[in-house]
Amino acid sequence: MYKFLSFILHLDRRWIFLLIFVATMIPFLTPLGMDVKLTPEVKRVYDFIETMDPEGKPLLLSIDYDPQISAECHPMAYAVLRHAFERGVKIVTVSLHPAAPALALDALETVAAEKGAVYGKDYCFMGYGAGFAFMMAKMAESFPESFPKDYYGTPIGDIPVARNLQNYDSFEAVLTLAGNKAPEYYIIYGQSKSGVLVFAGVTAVMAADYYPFYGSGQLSGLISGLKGATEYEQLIDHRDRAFVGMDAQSIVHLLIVALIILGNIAYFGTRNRQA
Amino acid sequence: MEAWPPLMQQISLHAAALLTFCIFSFLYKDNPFYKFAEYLVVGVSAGYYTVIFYNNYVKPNLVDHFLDPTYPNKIILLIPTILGFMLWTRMIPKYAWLSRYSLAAYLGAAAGLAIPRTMETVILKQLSSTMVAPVNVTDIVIIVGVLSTLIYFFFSKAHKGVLGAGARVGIIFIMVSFGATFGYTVMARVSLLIGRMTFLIKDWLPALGIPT
Repeated sequence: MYKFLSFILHLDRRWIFLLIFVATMIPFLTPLGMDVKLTPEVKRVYDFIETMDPEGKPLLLSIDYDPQISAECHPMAYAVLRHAFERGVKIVTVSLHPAAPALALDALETVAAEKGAVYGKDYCFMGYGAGFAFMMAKMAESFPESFPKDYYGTPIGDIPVARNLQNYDSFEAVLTLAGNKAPEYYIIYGQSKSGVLVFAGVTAVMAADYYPFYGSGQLSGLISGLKGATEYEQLIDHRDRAFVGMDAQSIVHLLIVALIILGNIAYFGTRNRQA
Repeated sequence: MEAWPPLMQQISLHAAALLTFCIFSFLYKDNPFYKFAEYLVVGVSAGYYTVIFYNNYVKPNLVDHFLDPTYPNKIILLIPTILGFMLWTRMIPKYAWLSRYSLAAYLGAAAGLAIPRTMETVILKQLSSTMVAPVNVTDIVIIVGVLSTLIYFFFSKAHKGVLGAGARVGIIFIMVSFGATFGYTVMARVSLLIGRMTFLIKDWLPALGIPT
């Protein structure tokens, strides 16, 4: 027994990397499709879009993540857009992260083609707005001055879905998908001035930072990490990449828990003999 | 956005897969392939952001206004131009002190914009949300958590007696908070691996003609 425990303690970490790699592969070969428990914070985002008036004000979707965290935020964008386009909710998209426009376009064009949404009428993409917090503050003053043209160079006055936008009051709410301070800054520079509702989709690393904002009511809803994206896919009944990812996540978590327990048993089991 | 021709899409897909493997190779040990991919990311990022920032900050806010004959009060544009150039003096040790004026102007503007609103939305609003009437278990946990954590960070008196007991409860809340944050971090890191695996299995393998 001591030999085995000692072997575990001195195991080369690369074997653990290999184990994690294999564990991640399993759901891709045989998808498990395990349901996830729905959380109220994700349900509130879903419920809000579900009750939006298709003929009413548009939703401001701020895509503020870069490729390195797209594994978590991109499935959120797909799920939210599928839901919005399915219901005919109008979407005005902006990007306040310089590396985000390509991802925004990918999600918009793919889902729009899938749901038959028409550019200009159902949605538009205003491109990258430089300045981050300054841009958020500027949007509170004037949206057309912040984004005079869309991504393709069309003046905002020629885009039906965007031509009447003035400031945050012109939107039903703001939904920012980010792995940075964007949700907090939208609260500071957008909500505090105009009272606009702010929803957020953030990476799991950021989730713990944003729960206090959800608890205080400053965030009206919160999608956190791959788990949140999976919940949204479950709510719209469209199981896509987040679901496959969540299966892998669950298996890897079980493996990590097992390794932690095994590591502790090995440590305490060999401690006396080593002393 | 105009789609790339199919050949370019194929090349970019294989390049992305190759670079993913280069990065993963670090898990075995440090090697030239990893170094190559790492330096490539740094170089491409620097180039990409330089072009983006020039086209989105400098050109529309400065160059275009200078070139626009109808733009009024062009003289005022000299202020940010000079401050901008002064930032570059950091490269010359003898004149590096000049850059402090640019930084001071920037920090002053940023702080002026941020402080009042941050005070209102992050500090006061967050504080008021912890001052709740204890009507359920969650409210009691919030009140006990906030008070005991504040006691832990109160260093003007020795942590003995009631203060010591409060501080010990505070430590428990802090540890639970660290645990939740660490758990979320592990989850996020695994998500990144899953993202790459999804790319390799769902996008790259089919491009090689291997069905998944």
